[in-house]
Amino acid sequence: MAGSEISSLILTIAAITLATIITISMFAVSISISNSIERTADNSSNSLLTDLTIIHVGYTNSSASSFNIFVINSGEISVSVTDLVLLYDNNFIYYNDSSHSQYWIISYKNPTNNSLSLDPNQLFEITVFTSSNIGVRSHSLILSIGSYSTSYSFS
Amino acid sequence: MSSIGTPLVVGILLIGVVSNFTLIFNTSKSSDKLKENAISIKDSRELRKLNSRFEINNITVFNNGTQLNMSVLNTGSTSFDQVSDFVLLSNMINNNIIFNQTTESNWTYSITPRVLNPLFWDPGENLSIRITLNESIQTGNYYIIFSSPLGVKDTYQWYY
Repeated sequence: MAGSEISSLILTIAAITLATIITISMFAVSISISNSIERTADNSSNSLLTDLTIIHVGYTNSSASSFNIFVINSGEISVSVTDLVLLYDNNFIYYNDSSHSQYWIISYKNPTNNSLSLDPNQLFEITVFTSSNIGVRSHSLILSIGSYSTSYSFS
Repeated sequence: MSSIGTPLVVGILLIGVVSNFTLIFNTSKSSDKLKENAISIKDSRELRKLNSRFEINNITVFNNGTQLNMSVLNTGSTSFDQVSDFVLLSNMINNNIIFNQTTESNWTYSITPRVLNPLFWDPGENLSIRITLNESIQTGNYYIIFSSPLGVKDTYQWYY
């Protein structure tokens, strides 16, 4: 009798332990799923709250080998300069890397500061350097960050 | 298993299932709320853009070409509360190419007539802007851009 009671007790403890382990594992999975849901929601929200408006493009020299892009952060959240992607006539333009024939820099911000964060309502000016005269014809620009993008045509 | 073991095991598993379901459900609900808020803010922004319109009417030059007076009429249905957040760019046109002569200039403004809210630039009101240039403008063709913080803009080409 004592033997069967001990066996029963061991079995009970084992079952409770297993149930506890299963429950803790379920929590770990749930937390992972919750984090994934929150991350997706944050990314979607950020994309909706991001808005960049190109208001003007102007050449900086008579050879038209460089031009300035004036952009307003017309959204509700700040964007980081280092996250911006710029395409010019469907060519990728490198950021702040003069070793490439086509690259761009942030040349002006209002108010002027050294931060790479562009706040809402802030104007910023991008200067694009190309290797030669870009030609008097229609050109296209695409500025994007994350899943958001905006385009502009100029000549 | 003992008489208390089975209910205890079932209880632990039940608590686990209910807790996890509640956690995921609440997270999903709050995430949906977050996205709904963002959609609402975006729609509000787009509507404001659609209703924003203004026209640059005239530019006159004063003080030996160091000051410009610009008149802008609010022709939309949106009131603007932070006119100081607007962007003003002036450029020189040379051989039909618009160059960046200056970026932002120093400017002040006044609003007439004050029809509605005295703190806002309301529809139908005229914005008088005085621009102080860093140096006298030269004879030539100019191109001015006046833009709201949402990127709604008007442009004006003039000859001095």
